[in-house]
Amino acid sequence: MELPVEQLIIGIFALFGAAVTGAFSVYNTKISKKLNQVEKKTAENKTLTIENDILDQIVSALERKDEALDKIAEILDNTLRTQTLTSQQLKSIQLILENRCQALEVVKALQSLMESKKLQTKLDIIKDEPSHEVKEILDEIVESLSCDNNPEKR
Amino acid sequence: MRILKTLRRVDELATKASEDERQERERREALMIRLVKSRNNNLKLFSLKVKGDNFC
Repeated sequence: MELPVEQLIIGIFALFGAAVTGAFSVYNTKISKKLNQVEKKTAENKTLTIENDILDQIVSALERKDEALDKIAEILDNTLRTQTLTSQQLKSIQLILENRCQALEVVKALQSLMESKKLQTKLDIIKDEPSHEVKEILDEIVESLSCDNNPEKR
Repeated sequence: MRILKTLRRVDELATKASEDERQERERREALMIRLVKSRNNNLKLFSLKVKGDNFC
């Protein structure tokens, strides 16, 4: 009679042990799964952070460029309204472009355009004004040309 | 007890990762809004240029 009781007790312990081992195994699997998910998410977050940092730099640069273009547009708008482009404004545009766009060619083109415009204005006056006015303007042009050709006279 | 502690720690890590992800997604959304705004500004400028060209 003693043998079956002992066996029963041993059997119960064995069952208990198996249950505990099973529970540990389940917990272990759960923790491993969660840890894997956390690792995956952390890696994704790192990538997201790096991408956001790069995007932040790009967007900031674009906004600075937009701001610079807005300033230039404002200056040009004023220029169109007043029909004048002072050297200070031109210098300002040049500085903005140098800093933001490195487009000195645009400034050079603008300068050249202004020179052509000045010349055109003088030619327009010649067409309309009486002869003594024309003579004065022509003298002025000749003087400016001679100054340009001779640096000592400047 | 140790297993429970480990589980709690893993849960905390998971919550932190989720919170980080949410913040980064919000940041991305804000950046994309700024980027689209800048692009629209440039499109507007380009459209003005095209109009100017046609005008000339």
